[in-house]
Amino acid sequence: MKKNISIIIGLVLALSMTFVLAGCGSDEVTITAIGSTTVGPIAQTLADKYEENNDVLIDIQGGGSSVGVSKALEQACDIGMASRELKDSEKGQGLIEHVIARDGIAVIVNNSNTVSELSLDQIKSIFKKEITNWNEVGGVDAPIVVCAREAGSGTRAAFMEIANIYEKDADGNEIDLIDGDVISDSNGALKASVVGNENTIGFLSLGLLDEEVKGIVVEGVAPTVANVLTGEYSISRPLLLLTSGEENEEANAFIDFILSEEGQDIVEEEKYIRVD
Amino acid sequence: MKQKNEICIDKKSKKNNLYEKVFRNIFLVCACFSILCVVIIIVFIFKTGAPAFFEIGMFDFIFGSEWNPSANAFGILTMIVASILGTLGAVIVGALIGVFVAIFLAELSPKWLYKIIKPAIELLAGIPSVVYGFFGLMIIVPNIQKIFNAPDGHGLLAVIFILIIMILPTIVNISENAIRSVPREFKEGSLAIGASHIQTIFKVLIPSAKSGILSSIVLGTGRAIGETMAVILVAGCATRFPTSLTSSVRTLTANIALEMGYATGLHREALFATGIVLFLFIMIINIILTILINKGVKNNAE
Repeated sequence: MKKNISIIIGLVLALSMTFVLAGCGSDEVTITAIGSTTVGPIAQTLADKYEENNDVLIDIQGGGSSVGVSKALEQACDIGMASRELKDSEKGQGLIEHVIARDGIAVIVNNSNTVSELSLDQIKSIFKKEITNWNEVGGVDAPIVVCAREAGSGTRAAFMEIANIYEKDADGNEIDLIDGDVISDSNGALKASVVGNENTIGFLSLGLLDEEVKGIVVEGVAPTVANVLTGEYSISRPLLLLTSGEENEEANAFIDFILSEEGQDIVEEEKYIRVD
Repeated sequence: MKQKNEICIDKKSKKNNLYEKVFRNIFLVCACFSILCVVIIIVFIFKTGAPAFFEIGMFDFIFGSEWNPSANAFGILTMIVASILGTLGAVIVGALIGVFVAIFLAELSPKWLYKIIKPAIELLAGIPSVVYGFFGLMIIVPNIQKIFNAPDGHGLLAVIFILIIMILPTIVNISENAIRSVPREFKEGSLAIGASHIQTIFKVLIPSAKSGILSSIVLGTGRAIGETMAVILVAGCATRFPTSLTSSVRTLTANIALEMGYATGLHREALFATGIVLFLFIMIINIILTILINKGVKNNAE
C-alpha cells in the first residue's frame, strides 16, 4: 500500500512539474491566422520571413474564407484571412480589412485536355452544367466533370461573382449556381482532383497555378500575373487580412511588415499582385 | 496483549471501510460524469437544432431535395438517401464478408494462418479514418473510374468500398468471439449425430451465436452511418440524388463537417438539425439491436 501511494504521489508531482514548466516557457507571443486556403500559403511564406527577425510564433490555419471571417468576427483568432470581398452582412461589425495582395483565379483543366480556350459564356454554362460534354466546346467526346469548392470558399464566391454564375433572388441575395460534381475543401485538394482525372475542370488561385494543370485562356487572355495587372484578365480578387477593432500590437506589426516594401517584394515573388 | 491486537484489527478495518467508501465514490463520480457528458451533448444539439425544424418546416427540411444555403434552401432528402444507401450497401456486403471471415477464423483456419490474419484485422481496426480516406482517394477512386468507365471515381461506390473495409474489423472480432463462445457441447453433439463440419457451422453454431453476430452488425452499421472524414475524401460531395453507383453523393455527416466551420444563423441551426436526424437514425438502430438481442436471449433460454 505504501509503495502504491508513493508511486501515485510521484506521478502527480511529475505531472504538475510538466504543467509548471510548460507555463514558464519562453515569452513568445503567438499570432493565429485562420481562414482562406488561398491566402494561407502566401501568409505562411511571409510569416516565415517575419519570424526570422521577430520573436513571435505565427500559426496559419485553413478552413476557407468564410471560416476566416466568422472567426475574426468572434475574435477567436488574431487575424482572419479572406480571398473575397466582405459580404454586406459581414460589414459594419468592426472588422478592419487590410488588402495585402491581389490574386487572379485561373480556370484549370487536366494537362491532357485538348481544350485550351474558353469564353466566359462557355465557362458559365459549363459550371452551371448546361454544357456537359467536352465535344460541345471543341474537345473530345467525354463528360465534363466539374470540380468546385465548398460553399464557404472565398475563391468560389469570387469566381461565382466575376464569372456571373449566380442569380439574384427577390431580396437581392445572390444564389450560387455553380453545380459541382466533386467538391474539395481547399485549393490544394481541388488541384489534386483536376490532376487525377482527364475530364475535369475547376478553378484555382492563380498563385498556385503551375505545370501540374493547364490554365484556360479566357476570352483570349491568358491567366498570368501580367494580364491581371493590366486588368485584361478579368477574374481577380483582393486578398484580405481581417482584424477586429481591438488593439492587437503584434498582429498589426505583422500586417505592417506585409504592406512594407520587403513584404510586397515577397508577394510579387510568389506570383501574386502587389498593392503598393 | 489481546487488547492490543483487537485495537490493531479495529484500526485496520476502519481504514478499509474508508478506502471502500472513497473508491466507491470515485467510481460513482466517473459514471455520473459520463452520463453528464451524454446529457449535455443531447441537450445542446436539440436546443440548437430544434428551432431549424420550425423555421424551415419539418416536411420541407426532411423531404426537401435542394440544399443551397445561399438560396435559403435546406432540404436534406438527398443526403438522407446517400447516407442510407451508403450504409446499407456497406453493411450488407460487409456483414457477409465479416461473418464468413469470423467463421473461418473461429472454426476453419489452421493455427499458423490464424496468427497472421487475426493481427492483420486488429491492425485494420486501429487505422485512423482519415488514412482510410487518403487510401480511398489515391487507390480506390482512380480505379473505379477506370474499371467502371465512369466520368469520375468519386461517388457512392467509393463510399461503400471504404465503409466495408472500415466496418470489417468490428464485425469480424465480435462475431468471432460470439462463435467461439458457443458451448462445445453444441458442436460436439451435432458432429456426433453425423452432421458435417460445414453443416454444423451453418445449422448449429451460427444460430446459437446469432445475438452476438447481430450486435456486431449493428455496431458496424453505427460506425458506417457516422463515418465522416473518409467519406468526405471519396464521396464527391455534390448535393444530388445518386442516379448510379458512381454518382457523386453527400452524406449527412459529410454535410455537417464540410459546412459547420463557417455556417451562421439558420444555416448553422440547419446543420445541427441534421445532427438531430443522424442521432435519431442511430437511436432507431440501437432500439432494433436491443429488440433483436432480447429476442435472441429469449430463444436461447428456451
